[in-house]
Amino acid sequence: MDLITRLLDPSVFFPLTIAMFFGIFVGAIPGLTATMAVALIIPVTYYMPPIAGLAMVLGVSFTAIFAGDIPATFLRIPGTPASGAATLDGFELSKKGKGSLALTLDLFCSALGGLIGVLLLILTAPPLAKFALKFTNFEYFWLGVFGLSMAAVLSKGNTIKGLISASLGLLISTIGIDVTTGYPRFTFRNAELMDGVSFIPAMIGLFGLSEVLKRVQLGRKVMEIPAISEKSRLNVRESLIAMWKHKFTIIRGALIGTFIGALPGAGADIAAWVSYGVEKNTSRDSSIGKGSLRGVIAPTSANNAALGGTWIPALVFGVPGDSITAIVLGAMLMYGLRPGPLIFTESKDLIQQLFGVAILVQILLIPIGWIGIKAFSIFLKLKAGIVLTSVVFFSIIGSYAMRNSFFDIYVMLVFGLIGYAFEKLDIPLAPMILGLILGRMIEDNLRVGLIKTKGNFLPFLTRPISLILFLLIVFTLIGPWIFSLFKKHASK
Amino acid sequence: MKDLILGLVLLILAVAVLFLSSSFPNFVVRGERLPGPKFFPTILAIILICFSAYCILIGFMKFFKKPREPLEQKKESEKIHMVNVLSVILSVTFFVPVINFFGTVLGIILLGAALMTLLGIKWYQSFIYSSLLASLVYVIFQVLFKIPLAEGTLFSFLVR
Repeated sequence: MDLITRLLDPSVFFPLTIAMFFGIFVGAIPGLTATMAVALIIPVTYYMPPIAGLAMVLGVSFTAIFAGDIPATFLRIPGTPASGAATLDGFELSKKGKGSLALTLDLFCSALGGLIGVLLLILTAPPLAKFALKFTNFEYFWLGVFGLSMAAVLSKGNTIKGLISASLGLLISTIGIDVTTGYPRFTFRNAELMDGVSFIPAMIGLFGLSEVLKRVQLGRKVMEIPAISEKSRLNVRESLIAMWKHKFTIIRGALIGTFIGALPGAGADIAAWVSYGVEKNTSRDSSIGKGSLRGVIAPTSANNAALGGTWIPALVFGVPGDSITAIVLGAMLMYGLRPGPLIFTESKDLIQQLFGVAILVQILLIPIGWIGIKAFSIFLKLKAGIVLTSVVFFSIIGSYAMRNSFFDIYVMLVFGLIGYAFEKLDIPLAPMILGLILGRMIEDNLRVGLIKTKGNFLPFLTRPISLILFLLIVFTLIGPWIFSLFKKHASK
Repeated sequence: MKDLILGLVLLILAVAVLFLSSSFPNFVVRGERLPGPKFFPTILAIILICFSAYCILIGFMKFFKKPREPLEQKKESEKIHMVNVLSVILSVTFFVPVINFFGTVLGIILLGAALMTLLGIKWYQSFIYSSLLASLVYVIFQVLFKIPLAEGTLFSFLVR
């Protein structure tokens, strides 16, 4: 009861609601991603109590992922990458005049999938945290490397480019004073770089500014969004009947989503595609891909469930599940919290509130999402030039506001240009962010481990958990290559 | 070509890292040499050199394997509008000097209107929307969160 009172307190509930509306707005505009929405909201949360800030982040991420499905259904343009799989059957249904049914179903499945993901997070995180207490420097080193290798393999583009991105992220994380010796590295006598590259301006640049650059390069005609023909309305009865009929698809989608989300580096977009693929391959429904309700249910229940899953490694090990939780980890450090197994004992109260907020978000998603569906046509009336300019200036002020530093604006600009160049060179961004956030953890644990063993690397491989993690990394990196060799051999 | 460029950039970066980190001191405790500040950057530089070699090799293989296609007129959707990209970059670059002189609110109105106009919005609409944007920024950051936004030398001079 006390928890509910605290969550409904205006200091938490009001920012949460505002953030959810912001998430709907950003997610529904094609080209603006959920990660970008989270990166833009973080500077606003800096001056709030941690639970209010984290509530805003949770609210934004869940609603933005759902809102991405709105243009996916009506216009065949995914609002966020996580909505790509929902585009296929959602748009086909929309062409048949059933767009509102598809979206209502999508809304309910997103809320239910999200709820299952959060419940699994609540159930699995504390026991996993107890297990994580057995980890020493050796295991944490491999865990960080495992997170990076997963991100490199699972992100778009080829694995080598993913690994390049991760290595560059690690390299950037070495900028600043070396914690062990106090020696400044790659700072070029700049006092602003002594603490390292500010994480939030870097994130805002990578996800905010680079997205804007990507969009404006298309020119005026291409960056505008076409108008929609169907009038949106809620189709509750039919949706509930469809949900009951396909209840196992929802549960399967949510379980797949949570599991994939929990893998370091894999987020809602991969979860949605895998769930859609599993449904298509296992179901007898031949209409999947041509306007099937199953084709809407499977990816939409998976993408929101994945968000709950991404918080599992983030909270338990301090290893982000995807780019959104990578930003959240940066924000948690900013609030003075240390993600890892001890957070469940040191900040027990906050974790309980966080879980409560996550459930509350799923409940609020239905009314706010419905308003989002209704308001979608209004969002589309805003010209791209206005929206993109607003993103540029919020990115600038957001970067500045963290430390009242003009230098951080230039950090944001540099990372915006890096993000833009990465897009041009087909290099995925997510591994770089993970490298940036995991860099200190990997370096410190490697060095401390080597100091403990007097330079002997063998203990990194002889401890049971370390060895398992090492083998997992090897399997992650060369497994797909071996599989493809086997496939080629079999086809011959 | 992309791989070749990437490979060369990585090589230059890795060599620069090796060069800079060679000046970092050794970490010696009681006569024993331990992994110091140069340890991790050096490992990363070596990894980057390996990746750069791979990219350069792939780049060369693609370069000689593929017959060069004649330059074709690009479709509208494939054209890169560099003016737009440069406008955004310049807006961010000049933001600090502009707000130092005009202040944050006026700076956002001026730069915002200019950027919106360049991105295809009518000039009077640009001024209206950039004024709304500046007000929103002011209310959220200055009023609500008490984050001091730059007043600008012009405003300070006029008040005096």
